[in-house]
Amino acid sequence: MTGVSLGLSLIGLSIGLILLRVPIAIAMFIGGATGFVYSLGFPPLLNWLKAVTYSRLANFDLIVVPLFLLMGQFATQGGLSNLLFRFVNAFLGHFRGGLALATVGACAGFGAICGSSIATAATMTQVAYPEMRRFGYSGALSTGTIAAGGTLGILIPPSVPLVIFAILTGESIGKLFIAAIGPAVLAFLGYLLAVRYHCYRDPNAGPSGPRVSWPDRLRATMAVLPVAIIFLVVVISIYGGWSSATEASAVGAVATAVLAWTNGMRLRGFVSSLLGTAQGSAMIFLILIGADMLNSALAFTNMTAGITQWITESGFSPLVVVAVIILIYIGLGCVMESMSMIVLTVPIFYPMIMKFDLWGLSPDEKSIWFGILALMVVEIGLITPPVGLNAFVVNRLARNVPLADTFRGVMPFLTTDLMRVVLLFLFPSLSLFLVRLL
Amino acid sequence: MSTSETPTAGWGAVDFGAPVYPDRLGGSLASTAMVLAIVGVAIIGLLACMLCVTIVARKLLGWQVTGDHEIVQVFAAVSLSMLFPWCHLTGGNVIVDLLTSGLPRSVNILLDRIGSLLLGAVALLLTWRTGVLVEQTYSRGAFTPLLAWPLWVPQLLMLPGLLLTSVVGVYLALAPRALALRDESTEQAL
Repeated sequence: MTGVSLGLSLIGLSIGLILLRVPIAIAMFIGGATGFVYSLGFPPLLNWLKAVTYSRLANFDLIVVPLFLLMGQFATQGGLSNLLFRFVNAFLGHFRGGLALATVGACAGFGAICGSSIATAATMTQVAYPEMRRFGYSGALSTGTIAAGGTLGILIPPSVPLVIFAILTGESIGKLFIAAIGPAVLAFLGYLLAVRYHCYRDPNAGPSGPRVSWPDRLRATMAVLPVAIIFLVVVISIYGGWSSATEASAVGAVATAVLAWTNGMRLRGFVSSLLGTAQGSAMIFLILIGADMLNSALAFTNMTAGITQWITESGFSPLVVVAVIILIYIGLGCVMESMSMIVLTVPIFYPMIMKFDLWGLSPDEKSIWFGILALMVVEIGLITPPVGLNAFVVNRLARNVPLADTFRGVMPFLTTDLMRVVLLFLFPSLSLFLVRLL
Repeated sequence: MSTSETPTAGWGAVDFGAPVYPDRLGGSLASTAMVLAIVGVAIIGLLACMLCVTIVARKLLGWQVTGDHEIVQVFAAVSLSMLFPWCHLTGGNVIVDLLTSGLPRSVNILLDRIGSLLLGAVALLLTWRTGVLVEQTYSRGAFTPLLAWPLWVPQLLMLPGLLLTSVVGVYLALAPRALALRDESTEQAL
């Protein structure tokens, strides 16, 4: 069996097990272990397994994952989403579709302190959905806005999937965070346009709310100021080189805990935050151990080098290959969870991307550009039918809106997402200009 | 079927997302996994506090906690290993149900039992191999570079979490109704 066919068989075995409801981490582990035994035999596998758990868990850089998750949990339990929603609503609520615009703004703000899209969507459903329904917003606009707005959680730094990408590829977390800001602003503006389009198509979908007085606006602004400070401290200290990503995430987690406590979080909320973090962190670390196993086995097969050579010899344009990779991501995103997708695919696609000449970018720029592109496509998967996870989460909480309405409501947002992916694909500077500038 | 594990004053594992398992073993596993998870993340929280101290001290006093990286690495290994049982017990591990969602519930439960058994087997394998690592590190006398802490200690402390993950995996695979109860409680949590 050649390296390429062995590698593809191992990936096929893993995907087959995944489709049979085996936990993704375990499916990757079994695929990798099979390849290891096939290539080297059983004793080397047992020898390799001795160190894998300790070396994966005893990692200074990776502790950012539970710390950013903890930050998001505290933000959720401390009701910081409420503050953000009230703040944006104070300025935008009086426009047609104003509450939906406020929801997008609050999702963006919440995403800035919470690295998880699902947590953002679930939290904002509890905050914004009842308000929108109370003011007579349509089910499609309400749930579609929250499901799509939630995806801003992984695009706006600090983003846990982006941290995982950085660790898998050895890329700088700070540069990736900075590179995500441009596309995140575009996403935010695109979503505002999508809300306006909804209201243009159906003028009754989002009636305007009452205008808020300037003193109330000032009070709402003062209330969210600490959230903005936490975000700025985390991102600027990472990029400015004042602290490592791990140290910045520690500051973020502690500061968010204090802010959540002053905002009403008590012991029960605190314990819920710890347990929520435990569940999310363990899920990610088990996937990383499974991915370590699979990637080690794939390294023996030289599969990626074989495929890259085949593509080069076939004369395909590297840009066509990137476009195909994006399409694969969109397809996988319809059925797979974002973190697993990144861990499973990046070790395969990333080395290929790094071998191609793309838009004349330097290796570092190429790496950052691909990371942001991959993250954006993964984000699209969260709202793409039939499995868009965010749409399901919002729909479970907003039970009186049919799922079909939610997916219908998501469509204008999805359109802006796809336009943004095309823009970033054609103009890498959209993500790289800030990195170059700073 | 009676439940031996009853919620106690709103602070049992059940109140934080663990299902009410129908037997004493399930109840004990849920409580133990919850305590391990809380302690594990609390340790990570304390590490965060230590890092805050080290940043402030470095900027203002030109001093920092000696061996802060080592401390984080050692405690991270122990604390993260304590989180796996809670994750699996509360259905936190990601599965894909694209092909199987249309199949009868009994088929899905059977597949989940197999998946859980495989998870238990992998966790047992990792426990065994980490145990061998402890033995070798102990006999080799390996220490952390700055603080000279013996490395076998954190490696040894990882074993309870890994072993409990294995027990949880096997329990969910074999105990009647355990997986169905877990799925029901996950649905309710959503």
